[in-house]
Amino acid sequence: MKYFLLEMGVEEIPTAYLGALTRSLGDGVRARLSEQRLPFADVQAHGTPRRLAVFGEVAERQEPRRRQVKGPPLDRARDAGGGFTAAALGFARRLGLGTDALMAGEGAEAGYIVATVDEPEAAAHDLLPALLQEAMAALNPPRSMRWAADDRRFIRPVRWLVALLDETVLPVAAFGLEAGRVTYGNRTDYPDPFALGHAREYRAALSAHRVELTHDTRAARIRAGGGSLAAEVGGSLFEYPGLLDEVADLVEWPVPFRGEFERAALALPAPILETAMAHHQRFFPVRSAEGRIDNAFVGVRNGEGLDLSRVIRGNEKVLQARLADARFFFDDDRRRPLAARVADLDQVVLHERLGTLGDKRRRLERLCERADSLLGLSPAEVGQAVRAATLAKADLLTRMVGEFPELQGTMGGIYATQDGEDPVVAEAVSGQYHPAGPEDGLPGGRVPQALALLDRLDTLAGMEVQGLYPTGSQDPFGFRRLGLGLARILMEGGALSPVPLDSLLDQALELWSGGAPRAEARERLKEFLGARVKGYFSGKVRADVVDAVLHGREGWNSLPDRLRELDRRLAAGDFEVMAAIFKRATNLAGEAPPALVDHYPDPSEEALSAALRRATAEGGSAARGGQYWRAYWERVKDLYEPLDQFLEAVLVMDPDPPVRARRLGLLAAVADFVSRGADLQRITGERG
Amino acid sequence: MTMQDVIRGLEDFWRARGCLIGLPYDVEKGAGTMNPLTFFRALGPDPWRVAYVEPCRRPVDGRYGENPNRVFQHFQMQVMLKPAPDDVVNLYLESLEALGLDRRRHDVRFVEDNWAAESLQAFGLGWEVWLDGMEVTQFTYFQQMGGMECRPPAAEITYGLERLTLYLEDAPDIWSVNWAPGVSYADLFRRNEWEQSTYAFEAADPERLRARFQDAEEEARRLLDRGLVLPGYEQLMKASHLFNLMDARGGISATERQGYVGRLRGLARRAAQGYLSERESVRA
Repeated sequence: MKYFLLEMGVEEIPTAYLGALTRSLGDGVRARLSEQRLPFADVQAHGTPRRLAVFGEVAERQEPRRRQVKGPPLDRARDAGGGFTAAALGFARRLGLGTDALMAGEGAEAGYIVATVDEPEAAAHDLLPALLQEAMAALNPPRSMRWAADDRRFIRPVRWLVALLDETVLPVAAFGLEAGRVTYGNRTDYPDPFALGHAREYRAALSAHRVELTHDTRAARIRAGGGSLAAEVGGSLFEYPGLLDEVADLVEWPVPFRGEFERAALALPAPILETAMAHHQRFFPVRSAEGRIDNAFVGVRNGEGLDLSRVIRGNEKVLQARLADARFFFDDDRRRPLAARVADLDQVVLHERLGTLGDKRRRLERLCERADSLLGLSPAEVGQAVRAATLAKADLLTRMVGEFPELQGTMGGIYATQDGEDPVVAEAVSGQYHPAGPEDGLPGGRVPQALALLDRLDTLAGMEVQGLYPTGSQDPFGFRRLGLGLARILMEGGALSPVPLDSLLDQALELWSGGAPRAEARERLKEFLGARVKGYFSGKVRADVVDAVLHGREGWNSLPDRLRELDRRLAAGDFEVMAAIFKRATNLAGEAPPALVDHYPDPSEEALSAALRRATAEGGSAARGGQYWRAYWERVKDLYEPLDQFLEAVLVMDPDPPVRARRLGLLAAVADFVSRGADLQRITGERG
Repeated sequence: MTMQDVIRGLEDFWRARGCLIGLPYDVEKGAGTMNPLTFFRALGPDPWRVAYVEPCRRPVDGRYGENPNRVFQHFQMQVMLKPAPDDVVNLYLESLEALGLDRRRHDVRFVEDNWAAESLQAFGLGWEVWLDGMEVTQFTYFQQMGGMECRPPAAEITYGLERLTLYLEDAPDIWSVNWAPGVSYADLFRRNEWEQSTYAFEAADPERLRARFQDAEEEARRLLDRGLVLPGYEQLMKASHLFNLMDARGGISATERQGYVGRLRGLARRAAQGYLSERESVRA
């Protein structure tokens, strides 16, 4: 085996894209090696802020491949004397073979002359240059730039290329550069170029020049080194979400250090301190043994350097200035209570077609007033929800949120608490923007969930009425994220008992359009939300099953249970066949109203109605957990046989109108029960 | 190292690397990029290297002289290199070393930050450069200026002079920075900060600002219509500054803002086009 290396030297790559670029370089090279029949082993890709690299073992030559080539038909390949014709000789010559390689074909090639060809086994040295160039060209960073007069583009300027096969430089050219063997070490410690002798030396040579190639190793060093620095002051490292991965991709050789700030700053609320440290400065906050934010932080420097004292002092000073700014904003904000800012919401236009924040506030209050009938809140809770709606957006007018936008909601909650608002109100204000994404948690408690849900509901109703649906990758208002948030609160927010989605949507749409909403508007919005749910479950549950359950008549709060149990039922194998008969029953019943009568003359009618009564008798609609839906799908299954026999035994469309109505009513009642859980017609078996 | 030493050090460094040492342009502006030495020279194929100090006014950043490093007016050292040399990042690091910053005793970090000046229809990709955690430079490869593609793209290096000096002097805030031995930044500008902040946040008359904005905008349009690109552009700079003052004074809604910015963008594009066609006619 030989060893190959490709290194792209790039000016500092933004952290957000480094991981994806690294993976796609590795995948691209491996896929092309397979395609080219070049056996390889342990081909790895790594990325640092200044380079993307891929290397590993590769065979010297392509795997041999024999293939049979079909020639002319036998009767035209041999002449009367049994010798080869000109056609056969020409065939052999074209393949560069003698006549001894020609044989009579077998199987699919029977009746023809065939020749066995050993394809040339090209050398890795000849194949790799084009292969590596293609793999680089296929990298497609989301935001690329130009840096030279021509059209070359990448995420940041590419400044050097190294391409080696063992000791030999491969003739690779890309981005206006020719590959060589010269690379660079860490900017702090080894700014000068150096040459690599052999591809195998790469990792060790970089390490000697203070570049750690592997993201996970860099992250582990930060965690270990930072952890012990925090332990020295009796604390632990607070791994603010996403921070470790980001910092590990900001440096090539992480050297953690500890700094401090004035204790007085600890008077600021913890979220402000955390945001200033983690979000703005990429420091890890240190938490004391009691779990409180301490006046220390851990920063990470790139490279060993000579001495850390200036680095620490400089970083401390910057944080100190940021906290001084935060203190200024906080004190300035505190000169007026949150409630005093509510009137100013009318001054802020959200979007010319979505109105002002003041309009938003009034609609949200209106929806919260109805939260008793809509979501099952008590009268006291409705009062809390309405108050929270009044205050919800006021923190957008504070200086703190102007400066630290990621603290929206959080600051409102803090200021509301300081103003002496009801703690439940403050919690609702604080939690209104959660869940912020598919991984984020829901707000806890009934009132916070109600506010978060109704706020999203109102915004999305506005999107529908104003025709602002996102298109393609364009979603400047984050409507899709809001839609998923709304769906998740409905599905997972166990604290509420929401009315069916249709009623919720109608109420919200009405506040926007002024009159009774049109059914198309509601359906479009449902479609939009359904798409979010499908996206959320994609890869976990079959798309057609999600679609069927989405179209069940029960509310979305039971959706995850219904989905899980139907999925489980389908996996058991005997259900999909049965679904066909329920589809038939539903179609037959058509628009007929469900109706059961006391006495059925026909035994098959009697058996079906009895089975349906048993099925509907169990479990009220109140306690509908996973248990209920597991039993539900069993009971649907129990309806199968009586239904099958009924359809065999009687003619539903009896010429006698009363008989026909009775049978249609019974079928409709069955369809009604079944359609609560899912629209089984939508189970197509397509995995899409 | 005083602020005047820093200015001189950077000027010497870049002069030795082929930069023309320019002068600030005498119209109020928010960023050194707006100086015609950058805005226009970033356009078209002609090579260009320039470095100059530019006072920049950002009314919303006014803090009455009370914030340690945020101010109504600050000074930038603006460097533009077209075409961008291959070793431009290294040149930048060398410029810090020329100021006595040993890279082994500091931490220099390039953090993604893509620059855009909406009202100029201009954007570029690059980084903010952190020196021991403090943002001291904006580093940008121009992609578009005045709505026109930059070919070749220039590299723009914008040093925040106060912050850099603050760092070099190890001063607690920009007010204690020495401009020259015995003359502090506070001596020179603290009163100005208080007065300008008071003006921007309290004394400015929103109606008058609006009228002046309109006036400058109309004048810019009239001049650009007559093919007078540079005087038209001056009026555009004035309009842009007046818009920033209105923004600080408050009361511009999001919709209005879009309207104002849209009008400035249109003018910036016309100025850029006018400049380019004039250059082409000279070349032809």
